[in-house]
Parts: sequence; structure tokens; C-alpha cells
Amino acid sequence: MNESFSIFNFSSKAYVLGLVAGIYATAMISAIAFYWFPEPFYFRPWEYFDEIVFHNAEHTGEWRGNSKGNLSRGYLFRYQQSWRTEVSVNADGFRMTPCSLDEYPILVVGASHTFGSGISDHESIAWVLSNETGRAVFNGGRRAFYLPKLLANPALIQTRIIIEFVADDLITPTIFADPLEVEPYSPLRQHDPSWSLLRVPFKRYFIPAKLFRIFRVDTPYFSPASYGYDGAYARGHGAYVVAFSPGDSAISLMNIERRARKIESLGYRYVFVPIPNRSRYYNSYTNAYSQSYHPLIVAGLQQRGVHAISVYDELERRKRDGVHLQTDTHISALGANLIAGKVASYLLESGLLTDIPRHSCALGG
Amino acid sequence: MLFNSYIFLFLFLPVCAGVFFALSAAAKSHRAPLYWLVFSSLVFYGYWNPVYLYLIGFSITSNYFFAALIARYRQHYFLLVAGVTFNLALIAYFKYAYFMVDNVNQIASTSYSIDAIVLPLAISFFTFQQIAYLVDVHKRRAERCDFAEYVLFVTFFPQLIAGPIVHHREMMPQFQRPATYRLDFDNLSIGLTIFFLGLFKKVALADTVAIYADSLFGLAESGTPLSFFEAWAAATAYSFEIYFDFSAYSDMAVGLARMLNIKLPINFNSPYKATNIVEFWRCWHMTLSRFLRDYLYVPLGGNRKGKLRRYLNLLLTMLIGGLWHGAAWNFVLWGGLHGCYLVCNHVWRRWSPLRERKAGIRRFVYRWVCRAATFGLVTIAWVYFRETDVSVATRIVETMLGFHGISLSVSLQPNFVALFGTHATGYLQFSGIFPSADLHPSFVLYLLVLLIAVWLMPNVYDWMASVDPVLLPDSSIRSGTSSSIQWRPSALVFIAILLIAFYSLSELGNEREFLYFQF
Repeated sequence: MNESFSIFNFSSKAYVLGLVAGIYATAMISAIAFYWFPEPFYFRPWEYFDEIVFHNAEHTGEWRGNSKGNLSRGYLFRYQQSWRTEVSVNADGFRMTPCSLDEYPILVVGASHTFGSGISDHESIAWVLSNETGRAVFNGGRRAFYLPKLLANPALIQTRIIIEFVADDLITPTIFADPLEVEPYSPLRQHDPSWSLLRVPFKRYFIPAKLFRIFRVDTPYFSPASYGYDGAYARGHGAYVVAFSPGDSAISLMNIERRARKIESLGYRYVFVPIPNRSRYYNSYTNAYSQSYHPLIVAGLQQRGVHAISVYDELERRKRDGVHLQTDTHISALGANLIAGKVASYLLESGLLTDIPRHSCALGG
Repeated sequence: MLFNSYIFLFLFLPVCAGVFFALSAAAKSHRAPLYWLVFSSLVFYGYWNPVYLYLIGFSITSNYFFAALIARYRQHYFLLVAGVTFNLALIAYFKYAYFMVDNVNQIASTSYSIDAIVLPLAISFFTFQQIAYLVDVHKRRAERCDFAEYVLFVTFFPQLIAGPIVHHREMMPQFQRPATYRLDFDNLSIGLTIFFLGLFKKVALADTVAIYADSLFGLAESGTPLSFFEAWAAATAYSFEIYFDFSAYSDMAVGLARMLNIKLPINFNSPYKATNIVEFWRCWHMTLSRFLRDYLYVPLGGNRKGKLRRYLNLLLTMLIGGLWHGAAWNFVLWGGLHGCYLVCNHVWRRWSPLRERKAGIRRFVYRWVCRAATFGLVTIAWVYFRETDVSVATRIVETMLGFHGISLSVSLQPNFVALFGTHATGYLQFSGIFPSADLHPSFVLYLLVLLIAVWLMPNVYDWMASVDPVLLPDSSIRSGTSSSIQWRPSALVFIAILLIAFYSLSELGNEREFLYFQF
């Protein structure tokens, strides 16, 4: 072999064994470190709860640390926002609300927006709604369409109102296609004897991955001030164009109405709140039909006699102030506040709360 | 199984290589490690969908049988015809049946239907490889061989999924050579280096630039018209995506084979450095070009039957080459476009008053203009390769060619109006260089850096030329820029490759298939 490029003499054997040992030993050390100290390996609480907390009933159920956006991480040339979040869940894995009681008259269900991905406990929709209405609210947000597994929760026996938040890009003709059937209660958080490292993506705990992230994530290539809230991330989620026809939308409406009737037949009042995808507000990312989709869904449901609330105008008015997190698909504290405020007003004005007494517990916030 | 997946890197590869060398050391003959490689390759293929092991098994067995008959009765030409027809029928059914029925329905207004057929992975590659083998057996350029060796020739996992398309005569001597079955740290060090460089290209370059290409093409597909610069950025991003993707796969295939003491033929040799389309095709997917030349273009008459016939042959070869990539009209158009480029290239060479100078600044300028023009033409053609909707692709190409005006920065409008008046700015729009805001200007800088890198930097094979990393089967292949810095195991290179490996493994989470896996 040519000798022209060498700092130290390295035999092929040392080179090969060094590479193989270096890679596999690092992987092994990473796995051990992660097994004992998992929290520093996560960039936001959502995955931490999914992969660690919900499999460990003994965990404190808390996250106190910095979060980073899920949209920016795939890009080399993007501003990477970092902000502090404080997340805590109860023994069953549900997000804390200001009023911890044995029973809750209002249940909110949904997925990550409802859980409050990226925002702290006191900023979540359920928390603000509790403060605004003066009623205890149970935050059942975590997995989309989890309601059937939740209704038999003993804490929800006295529940009168179910508010379902659904990201409007999930409102497709397949939504609620299966009729709702109440299932045995299933807490989010349980002891999982089958949990193992194989269930966690390798790059989550590979230490070099963490080190490379430091360079990538914390490098402010561009200032957030110049970046605004309608940068490329508005379309990064890929849900900027509604691809189904008005006929398909009618199927969605029919499915939602059927679900509403079923829930009402179980003795609850049902309220449906679509949460607009962040791209809906920015004309250049979408088309006219996509922009009309949100009002169309709400109006269609209202015509069918379903309590449906549009939060579109409230978010649209404040879009320049950041109703979504800058580098993330989810709503910000401001967005959650606006949504909760609109829903609280609707509940109060429509009389849905009149027979539900205010709770005496001290509401925080 | 993907080369860029954890299961491959942390389970398949160490087990396969470990057992291979253990068997090589323990067994007296090379049969046991050879069988192990066959078994491993079938596991590698079957991991994707075990059902298609039957298909590849059927194809291999049938071709082996045809080869035996052809070798024994060489005077009966129909045996070769039957063998080739068998292979073409197989690929026609699995790859083109739906396309053909769909087109018949459109032309004849019929409504024939067939059940959806899942395209078996690598069918285009293993079919072409075996057609070449049958022809070579008939022409006495290949000998019959042991069945296990033949199975390994077809299924050898580093090259099974996306090439290179190897010749029997390139692989068999290596499978039969005792040195192949010895632990060789020199080969391992070469193989590991090339493999990790390929992995880095895939995850750090191809997959990163793909995010932008997908985003911009997605915008066009959604009906939003791209601006002039956005269209060029989209096409250039895809040019680099497919460049680094295929280069990465080729490197990883070469590296893996080399770890097992096998040299594969070179398949990718800095094609964007080409100064004309003919040269481009000598450097892009070289083994496919070789196949098309030897088994299609030459039998069609090549350049032996006059100029017009030569151009027709070229066009036909490239149309079929396009169709080989996928059963869709956009691939046919892409192939046709390259066929036209090649014809124009030959006409230009014959008739152009401009000739390349032997030395000096004029030669330098001429070559760089040619290189840039070649890259531009290839980039335009990639739009049809990427975009299955031909009307969307055509709209993008029209925009790239300036048919829909050029959008400039809003701030420039007063200057233009002051200079040329309002009437002169009709063609120019001032809604921003990237009006959809989907593209940050820094990304354009990134594209420029990539362009300079692919034009100026030596490739892996240049850097490692002193250790002969690949087979160079064709003397007409450009040897590349011989790098003054040559690879050898050293502390600096070791650290660099280890860091590259760490970075690549860190980015593996969102495994994207290699683009050529779909063919």
C-alpha cells in the first residue's frame, strides 16, 4: 500500500479491530448508560413518556427540562428552538390538571394537542379550561381515539361532558369508521414486564448521536426573530392540502355524528373540536379548499345537531404571535389558551354547564 | 433488508461475516463458507418477503437448466431464444403487466383488470444478470458451473438488490479462488472504509437533500406553481439526492463484497464530472450501461449499419433503458430524453465547428462549459425520473426553461422599473426568488457546496486507487482524477472513519430505502 498519507503506522488488523471494537463497544456503553439514566437522552417529553414512563409504574411521572421541536430536527439548515417544559402525569399516566379529585365532570380526550405536547402542565388546554369554567377537567389526551378504553375509568363515573379534540388532518373518511364500544379501562401507565431496550430506537441512546445533536440542535443558524412562525415548518408536517372530496368529507361528518349519538346515548354531552393543522393559516402552503375545510367540518356538524366548535378564527387572528410552537407541529401555550378560552365560552354560553356545580377545590394556574 | 438498517449492521453483517470466516478457517474446503454465503444471501433477500424466495429460486433453477441445455446444444439457437424469452416473460408479468393492461385499456377503451402485483425486489437486476449469463454461455464467454456457485453468483447479497450487474466471468474465478476464503485484514480494512463512506453519503447527504427535494416536488404536485429558481432548486436537489443515494449504495455494495474478499466491478464513477452525455453514461450505473451496450445496442446493429441506424439504435436502447427503471411513462420519457441527448452529442461531435483544444485556458473554459451544460441537461431529465405525473414534470421543466417567467426579489422591482420601465418587466415577476418560502436561501448555498464537491473532489475509488478497490472491466472507463492523497490505514484515517461511522449510525433512525431498490 502507498505510504504517502500516514501520521502513525497502523496495521490493517489494528484498523479493522479498532473500528469494529469502537463501534460495538460504544453501542454497548450507550445501552448501559441509557438503561440507568434515560432522561438525558430525550429531546422532548412525548417520547420519554411513551418509551419509559408508561412502562414503569414506579416512575415519578415527571419531566423537567428543555424541549426541542419535532419539525426542525431532520434539517441541517434550520433554527432549532429550545424551551423549558414541565410535565407531570398521575399514577395512571394522565396529564395533571389543577384539580386532582376522585371524579371529574368534564373529560377532554384527544392526542398530542390535548395532552399538551411541548407545553407545561399549567399551559395545557385541560388546565386552562378547568380554570376558565371553574369545573374539574380530566385530561385524557395521549393517543388518538382512546376514548373507548377510558370511559370505564372510576374517576370518570360522574363525568357529564366529553370534549373531543381532533387534529383536522386526522378528519379523513376513515375517522371513527368503527362504531364506539366501551372497553375495559386501560391506564396509559402500567408495569410492562416485556419492556426492553429493543423497543427503543437505537439512535435514542447511541451516545455519539447525542453528541452530534449538540452541534446540530443548539446551533442557531438563523435568529428566531427573522424566522417567524410561518416558515417552512408550516408545511413540514405534510398535511397542508386536503386531498379528499366534499363527498369524502360527508362520510367523515356522518361518522362523527354517529359517534356523537352513541356517546349521548351513554348519558354524556359530546362536544367536538377540530384543531386546525398549522399550515391552514398560511395561504402559500395550502389551497382554497384546504382553507375552507375547517369551517366546512364545523358547519356540517352543527347542521347535524352536533356540538362542534370552530377555533379557527381565534388562531388565525393571532397567528403572527405564534399559536403553534415555532419548530414543532403542536400548538403553543398561546394556542392552547385561545382554544381553551373559546371552548369555555361555548360551554358557558350554550348552557351545557348549568347543572354542573363548580368544584370547591382550589384551582391553580 | 436495507444496508442502512440496524438489523443489517448489528445482526446480519457481523453474524454473516463472522460465521463465514470461522467456517473458512475451520473447513478444509471452501464449500462450507460458500454454502453459508448462499444461505445468508437468501436470508437477506427473504427478509423482505419470504414468498419471493420461491420466485428467485424458480428463476435461478430455470436459468441454470437453460444454461446447461445451451452449453450442450450450442448449435440450437432457439434454446437461447427460449431462455431469454423466459426471463423477459417473468419480468414482463411482475413488472409490466399492470402498465400494459392499463395502457391497452386507455387506447382501446376496454376495462381489462388484473390483480395488483407486488414488484419483487431486485427482479430487474437478477433477470438482466441471468440473461447476460445465457448469452455468454451461448457465445462461449462463460462456462457452466456448480449450482451453488451459480446461486451465489445471482444472489450474492452485496450486489443482489441494486447491482452492480455482474458478469459470470467476473465473479466465478473469485468464488473459486482459495484466497477468498481466508480472513484478510487488508480487504476488511478497505471494505469497512468504503462501506462507511457509502453509509455516510446515504444518511448525511442523500437523505438530507431528499427532504428538500420531496418538499419542493410535493409543492408542485399539490398544484402550487414553482418559481424559476424554485424549479431549478427542486431539480438540483433531486439530482444530488439520486447521485449520493446511488453512489452510496454502490460504495456500500463494493465495501461489503470487499470485506468478504470479493471485488465488484465499478458502477459509479463521478458522473457529474462528465463533460458530455456519452461520458456521463460511461460513469453512471456503469454495469447497466455495459449491459445495454453489449446485449441490446450491439445486437441491434450498434454503429455498424450507418449513422441513421446508429442514432435509432441509441434512441431505442435508451427508451428500453428508461423502461427498465420502471413501468411508467415518465421513465420512458426520461430514457427518450437521454436518447435524444446522446444522438445530439454524436451529431455535435461530428459536425460542430468547436473542437476541444489540447491545452491552455480555452480548453479549460471549454471543458467547464461542457461540464456545466451536461449537468444542466441531466438535471432537467431527472425531473421526469422523479415525477411520476408527467404533466407536473413537464410544468416544472417548462418553468426551468423560463417559459413561465422569472421571479426575482421584491426589492429589485424599483431598480428594474427605473432602468427598463414597466413594459420591460412583464417577463420578470417580483414576488421573491423563492416565493413559496419553502426553501431557505441557505439551502441553495448547500446545493452549491455539493456541486463544487462533486465536481472537484476525488471520489472514493480515486482516493483508494492504490488498493484497487473495484474491478475496472472496461478499458474505455475514465480512470478519474488520480488523487495525490492515497488511502492507507493510519491513525488519522482511522479516527475520521470512526467519526463518520458514528455520525452515520446516529442518523439511521429514519431509514429511507435506496432509490434504486424500486427498480
